[in-house]
Amino acid sequence: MSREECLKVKENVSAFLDGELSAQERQHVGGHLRLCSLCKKEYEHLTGAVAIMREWHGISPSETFDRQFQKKLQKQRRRLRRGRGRIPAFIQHLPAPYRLALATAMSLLLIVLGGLLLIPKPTYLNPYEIGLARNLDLLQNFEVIRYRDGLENFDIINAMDELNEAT
Amino acid sequence: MFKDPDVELMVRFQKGDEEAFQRLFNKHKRGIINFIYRFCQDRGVAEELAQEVFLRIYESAHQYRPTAKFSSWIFRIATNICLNELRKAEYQAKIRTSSPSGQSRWEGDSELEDRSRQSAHSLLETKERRERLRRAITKLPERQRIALILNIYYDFSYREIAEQIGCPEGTVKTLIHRSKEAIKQAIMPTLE
Repeated sequence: MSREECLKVKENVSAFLDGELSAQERQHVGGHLRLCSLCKKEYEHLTGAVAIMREWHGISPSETFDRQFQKKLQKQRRRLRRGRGRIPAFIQHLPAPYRLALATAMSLLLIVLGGLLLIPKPTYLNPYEIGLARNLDLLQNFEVIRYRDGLENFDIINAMDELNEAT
Repeated sequence: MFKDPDVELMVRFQKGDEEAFQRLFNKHKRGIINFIYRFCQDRGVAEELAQEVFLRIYESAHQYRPTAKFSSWIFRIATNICLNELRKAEYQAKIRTSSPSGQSRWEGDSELEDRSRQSAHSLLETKERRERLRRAITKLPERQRIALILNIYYDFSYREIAEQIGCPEGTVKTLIHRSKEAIKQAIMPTLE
């Protein structure tokens, strides 16, 4: 038997023992073990080690285990009831990915609404104020406009000219 | 309706049947305690973390989907708790104080003594083998330890273990091969 082949079998011997090999691999390893005494010995040691591991039956729960757990469970129930009281039942029963999607959508909605509040509101003017704004430049030239009619009246202009000449 | 009776119990619990949860707890508590106990080899810590596993099931019942075996789901939770919680200083300190090096004991030995009709010599051999095995399991890297325990004591397939640990099936094959080799080397002197 070549060393490479023995190494390859050694790598698969544990899976062979667990019945985790394909039919072809199983046949190959089984055939090798029948012919190679060294690998066969390794395999026997492995089965022996697994048998010893299986001897470890473990422990039984201590007498206080159940009581302690029930106490913790009661506390948990109270905590969950308090938490769940604030969340509508239909949300509690949604699968986790849907709840995440809902939470994201709600957060986005809050951000959009918050943004809308920050935009300055337009100021609405009454008709008087609108008129005033439109004629603001006229208001500034009020003194000129006040005498506008007078300046266009030729009688007054003539009278003023005569007055100037006389003086 | 469901092939796995535990899945049926879990679905009933999801609908609010607390008794179904208690039945699941009673059925699986020993298995979960021993899974964690074999991993950390401290009874107190194992029981505390096993309770944590069931509290997590109670809390996250709504997330459970009856697509896989219930035992796969519960052991996935237990694996996560083992890997995450036991790294915390709080538990590390508990494990150190409860089993100081050289004085560690294998719980279950008393059981062996009671029911054994073995001679004093073979009893001593068995005890030595167990002590070697215990030490060898403690020395294994975490993922090798988890894979080995799930494989030897709970008969999970490599595919199921891969799901529980969160790695490819080929990796599980390697983890189990290496862990068994390490254990074999450790207890070899008692095998010959």
